[in-house]
Amino acid sequence: MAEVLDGLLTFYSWHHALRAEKVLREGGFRVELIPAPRELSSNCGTALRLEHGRLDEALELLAARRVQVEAGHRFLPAAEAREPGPVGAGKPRRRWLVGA
Amino acid sequence: MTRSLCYFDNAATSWPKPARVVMEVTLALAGQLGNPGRSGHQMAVTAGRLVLEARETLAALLGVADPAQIVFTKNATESLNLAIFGLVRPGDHVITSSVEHNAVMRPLRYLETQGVALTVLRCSPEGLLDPAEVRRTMRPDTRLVVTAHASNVLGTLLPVAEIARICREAEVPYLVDGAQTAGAVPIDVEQMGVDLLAFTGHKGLLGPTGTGGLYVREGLELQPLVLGGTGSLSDQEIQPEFLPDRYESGTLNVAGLAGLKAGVSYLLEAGVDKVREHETALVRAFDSLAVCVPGCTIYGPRDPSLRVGMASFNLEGIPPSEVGRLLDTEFGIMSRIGLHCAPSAHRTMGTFPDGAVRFSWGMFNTEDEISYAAEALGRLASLARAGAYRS
Ligand SMILES: Cc1ncc(COP(=O)(O)O)c(C=O)c1O
Repeated sequence: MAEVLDGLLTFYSWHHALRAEKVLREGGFRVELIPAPRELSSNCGTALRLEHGRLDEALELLAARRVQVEAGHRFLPAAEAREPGPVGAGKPRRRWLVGA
Repeated sequence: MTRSLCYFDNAATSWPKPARVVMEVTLALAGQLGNPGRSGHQMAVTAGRLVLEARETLAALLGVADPAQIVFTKNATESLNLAIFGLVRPGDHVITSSVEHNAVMRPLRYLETQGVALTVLRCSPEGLLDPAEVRRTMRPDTRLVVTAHASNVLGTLLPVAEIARICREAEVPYLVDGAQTAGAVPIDVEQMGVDLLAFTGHKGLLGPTGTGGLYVREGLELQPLVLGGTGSLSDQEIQPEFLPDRYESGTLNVAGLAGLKAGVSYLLEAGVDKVREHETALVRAFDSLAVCVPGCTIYGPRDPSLRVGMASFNLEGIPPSEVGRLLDTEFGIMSRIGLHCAPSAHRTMGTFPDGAVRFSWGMFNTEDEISYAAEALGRLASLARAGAYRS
């Protein structure tokens, strides 16, 4: 099965979010830019999904390239283990484990 | 002599622009682009990616490791104001040169009225500056050294690497005005050791007007010139600390930056060293022909390697304004006459207040055009000697 994008990075600045997308993709990570879940961050409208298992590795690469990250998070595949829906569809539900 | 169109005013703004610049601006306006960083939807992200690419392309051209250290402005003037007002406070001392453009001189003269001490280092009439003068005039309260990379009147290159070394030793920030050199002379800010580099997008970088930027060395803090929305920290009413947001309030000129990205990518492919070689050859060609025109005085150093692609001159017996007018109407040659927004530079070279005629070249000018222009100057000179322009 393809890796699950159960990790999430939030950023202070959209510049850093878009730069992270590029740096990580070039570094062989599977990433997906999404509108940042409101309950996690109001800093910048954009967040980046990636495999949680590779979070430390990703943070290391981003630090080396001077990309500033606000925080890393983990998606909890609880009872309703689903991909997070589009943000803004209904009330935000606490599906992301903050700071994991 | 067949009349042609010679654009010799590239120091004011470059012309023509590469076709890809026009295309990228058009695509940015016609395409599905939102406001970069203001929303998370795909059209905002597309615009954001475009701006990121513009920043990365410029970082590659200027030798900047982290693209976030480049902030976008609307031109070199705004960049210089951001750097100068961002650092200098009443009671501080600033060192500059006597060949500065008014984009540097006017902010500094204003600050002088607000209690800032200013030292203007006198360059030679050719625009040459002895870097040891910077060391000699450095004071404990010196807060900033600012010089042009090249004079926009004489074309003279200033010894920026040596000045940077002196500033580094004294731990004083060094701001370089690269308006005339970015895209025309190879620049590596980290190797040169400059702390701040102001550039404009519409000259050597071949982009549209309304684009420019400032490189800020990591760790150097400026007071922002403009405060406001950045698309980040939207829940807070204080300006963000991080770059580039700290200095980029308000929506960016996305279409302009798309064009700038295209201009810079064109230069990266052509090679700035090749552009420099070409322009030096044009300077050499002009000088060798113009010395044969009777009554033609060329200003600036004779060695073309000390000059960017321009020449300022006067013809004996005709005021520069008349030379400029005749070159335009009779010969189709676009030059710039007068004081070039740099009265202090004209005082330095001894042409204040009458000014001079300036030819400034770019990568698309040719030696044929130079020959044609030299022939035109020869004609004007013989008419002048016949007394045609005596008032
Ligand atoms: C040396 C120098 N500094 C600053 C500027 C200002 O550039 P801009 O008009 O693009 O702000 C110019 C060009 O006019 C210049 O030649």
